[in-house]
Amino acid sequence: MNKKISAFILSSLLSICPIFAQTGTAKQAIKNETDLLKQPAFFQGLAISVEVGAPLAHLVGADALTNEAGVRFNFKNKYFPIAEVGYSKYDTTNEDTQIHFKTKAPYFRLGMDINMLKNKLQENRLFAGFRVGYSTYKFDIDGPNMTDPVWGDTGPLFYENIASNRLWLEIVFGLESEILKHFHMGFSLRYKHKLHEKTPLEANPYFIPGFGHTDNGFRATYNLYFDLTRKIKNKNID
Amino acid sequence: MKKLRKIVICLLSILTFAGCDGVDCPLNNIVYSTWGFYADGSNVTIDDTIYVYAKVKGVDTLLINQLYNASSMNIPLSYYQPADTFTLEIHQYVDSASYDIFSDQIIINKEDLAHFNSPECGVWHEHNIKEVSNTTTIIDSIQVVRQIIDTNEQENFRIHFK
Repeated sequence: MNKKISAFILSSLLSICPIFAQTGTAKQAIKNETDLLKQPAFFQGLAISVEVGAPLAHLVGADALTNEAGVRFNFKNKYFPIAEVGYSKYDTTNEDTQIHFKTKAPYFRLGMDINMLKNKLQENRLFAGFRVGYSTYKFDIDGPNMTDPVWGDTGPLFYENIASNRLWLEIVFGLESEILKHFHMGFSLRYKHKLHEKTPLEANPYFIPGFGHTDNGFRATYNLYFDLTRKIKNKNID
Repeated sequence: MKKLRKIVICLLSILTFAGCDGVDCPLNNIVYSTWGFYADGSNVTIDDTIYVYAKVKGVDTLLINQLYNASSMNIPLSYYQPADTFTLEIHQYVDSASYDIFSDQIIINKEDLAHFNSPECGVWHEHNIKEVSNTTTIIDSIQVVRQIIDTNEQENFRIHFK
């Protein structure tokens, strides 16, 4: 019974993760074990990436609208330095408290992924890496008037253009597979951790462009990559 | 290949848990100032009965009623007044039927700040103490040990009794 359940889970994963099918064909393409010993040439190409998970999440109801693109180098099919730039808008009002929070700002990240697979000649990759992100932004808060429960005085809740910034680190684990010629699809899971922040006295920033909500934690990304130059070479073959 | 599958399953599992994102709001959005009771430099327990009144629009309003056997107390400050006036009253029982009343007035000058936490949790009012003054019937002096009054619930004032 357990084997059947395991087989079902694995077959389900296979159906949603083209990387396995790709890995399989790639494996067949390796003619013999000596291929594994061959070293790819240093420069393997340049790709642009678009993060599609956040816009899709916004379409199905998420408050944040984030558009993000990146440029990624490929060195030896192992090292992938990457720069990511994005723009986030977040606008939400809580139904219970009627407090409204709004921010919009750009952000950027720099980092590198490392392909952990032994066979660097295939187009499928298993990544571990990091990003250092930064955003400087302003946010607005408004809500119903507040009443002092003891003294009875009433005052407004209205803050505009509160300036803040944050520097953070992301630890990245990801998968990537070629889905069409020149096109790759990638999924990554990132642990984000605040490194430095300018926190205003009057408010905790509720949402930080590029980082998300204020607490450290995980987030997922879903990227599409387009190879601007594609040049898988092998020193031994060339 | 098996290793890769395990990693994928692991990643998906973590992602599932990562999706369970909750907001922990404090139970109470009122910030209280914390006052410790001291005599001869040491924290002491007052076994007389304590009452605290706040002057609200010229009228004494009871904030603490019959606090007994306590070594500290918590008092809210106003959201928008630049200065709060409190009366600390101690009922010292002579016998079961009669008691002496001792009272002192405390004035706190402060700055107030509405601090936004999140749309779910709302706003609380923090205070920055500028100055404290008091009459000296039973209180010798009041020491400010933590100027900022926020949700940390640390001791802000030390009342040194005579």
